[in-house]
Order: sequence, then C-alpha cells, then structure tokens
Amino acid sequence: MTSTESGMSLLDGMQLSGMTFSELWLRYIAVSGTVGELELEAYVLGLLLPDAYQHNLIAQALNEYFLEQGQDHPVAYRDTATVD
Amino acid sequence: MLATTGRQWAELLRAASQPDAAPDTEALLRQAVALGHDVAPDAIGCSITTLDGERYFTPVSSGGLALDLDEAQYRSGDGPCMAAAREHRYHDFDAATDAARFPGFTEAAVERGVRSSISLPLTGTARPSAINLYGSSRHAFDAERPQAVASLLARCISTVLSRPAATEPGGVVPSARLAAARDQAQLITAAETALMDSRSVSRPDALTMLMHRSRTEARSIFDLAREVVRDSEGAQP
Repeated sequence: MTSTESGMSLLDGMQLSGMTFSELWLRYIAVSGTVGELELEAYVLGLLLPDAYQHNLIAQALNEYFLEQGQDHPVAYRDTATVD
Repeated sequence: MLATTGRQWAELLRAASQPDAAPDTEALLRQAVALGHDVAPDAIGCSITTLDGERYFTPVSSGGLALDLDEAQYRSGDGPCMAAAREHRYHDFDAATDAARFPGFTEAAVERGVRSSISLPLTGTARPSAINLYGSSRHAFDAERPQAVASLLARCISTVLSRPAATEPGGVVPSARLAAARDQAQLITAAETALMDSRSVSRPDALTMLMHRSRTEARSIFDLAREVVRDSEGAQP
C-alpha cells in the first residue's frame, strides 16, 4: 500500500523545471535509475504507471534540480514503508 | 490511464529500447498509431505517411478517417503530412487559417470534422516518413503534454522502423555527460552498500533511506551519499 505525499506531480515538476527529458534522464541515472530515456518519459507523461520505487527515483532526480535552485523538494514522493 | 493502453505503451517502449528483439514490426506500427489517439483528448486519427520515390502512401493508419485524409492530401498534391515527410520537419495545421495553403486537404478535413493536425518527421527511416495526428478541435495538440507525447510516439516509431541502426536508450545524450552521471550513480551505490552492511537492509531500502534523509534534511542525496561512504570508511577496523 502506498500513498502520494502532497506536492507536485512528476509532470508538473518536469514542466516547472524547464529541463529537457534528456537532462532529466541524466539526473535520474545519477541517482541510480536504470530505465531508458523513452520509458522515463512515459512515466513522467503518465503513459506508464511507475511503482513507488521508480516514482521516487524520478521525484528525487527532479528534486535534486530544485535543491540546486534553492527550493526544497517540491515534487511529491510516494510513501513506501519508511526505513529509518 | 486504461490498463490496455498502458500495456500497449509498455510493449512499444520495450520494442523501441530493444531494437534487436525483432518483433512483428507491422503489428507494432498498428499498435503505435492506435496509441496516437492517446496523445490528446481530441485526437481522432493517426497515420504514417511515407514518400517512396515521388509517390506518397500510408503504410498504416488508425482507421478510415486518417487514411481518407492522408489520401486527400496525396490527391490534391500537398498537405501537412506530405510536407513533414518531404521537408523532414514538424508541421501543424489549423483548418481555420490554413485553407489557402492546403485548399484540397482543408476541405476534406472540415468535411470529416477535423479542425487541426500535427505531423512529425520520423528519423532514421529508409524512406522519408512522418507521423500524422488529426484532432477534432482547433488547438487539440497545442499544449505541452500532447506535444511531448507526440514526440515520444514519433521517436518510438522511428526507432522501430530504423532498426538495427538504433542507438542505446538515451541515444543522443553526449557520452561524457552520461559517464559523469554514471560516476554519480556509483557514489550512490557505494553509499547503499555501506548502509546495507551497517543497517542490514536491502539495496532498495538503503536507497529509500537516502531519499528519505534527503527530503527530511533538505540536502542533496549526493552529499548524503558522500557522508555515508566517508563514515563507513572511518568505521573500518
């Protein structure tokens, strides 16, 4: 069971960032994402439904960009059982 | 998103990212043009136009409407789909303003309730080709998401049609930038490994821990990963 925290969707975050999908894909690879660029685009555009883990990797990639811009994690994560 | 549509996208994306898998290209293209109806709420037809010598034809379409409108262009000698294939560039069409440019096609489009279209060139194909999307409203494809979905669809079809010359997923990304991204991923992996050892968690859980800390401490995951790796090295006997 997962739920989405409040915050922006992946697509809203992508559009707000102004990044290209290639730029997002590089950021996603950097946080250890593994899917190809086309599949990543399909997740962000809502054509494929990512599982919580995949969603959070994409959210992290976007939020890393926003952190660099001085914003604190505006894109929502999907909660999984949190391991602390 | 309908489950069937999601499955079809997944199949198309799989084929586009595994160009050597050699699936049934014809079936895949039929599926791809059916997905054209997914591009925007008012999308009502999708097809591919190909130029063979001096002759244009439609190898695949999502139905009679798209095929009829493609053929109306071929009969009248020009239209946005032909122009996109021939000139290898994006063309859009608005029935309200483009009648002078494409009179024959505009008449056929209006008769069938089509008010707009976009055509995107396909890259790397043996013959000049374009994918065409027809809409029932004037600005059916103007928004950012329809443009992005149409672009994704065009690139998937290009890859399927241009095999085996397709490149790895991510294709156009400069290799130096990709190498830098993979270096950063190695740092994350090292931090995950350290957490797996010290906290007895799985790799996905270790990454979830890093993301959770990044969020709660408002810090970059890369800073945290460096810290975790440094601490683990300091803890070595």
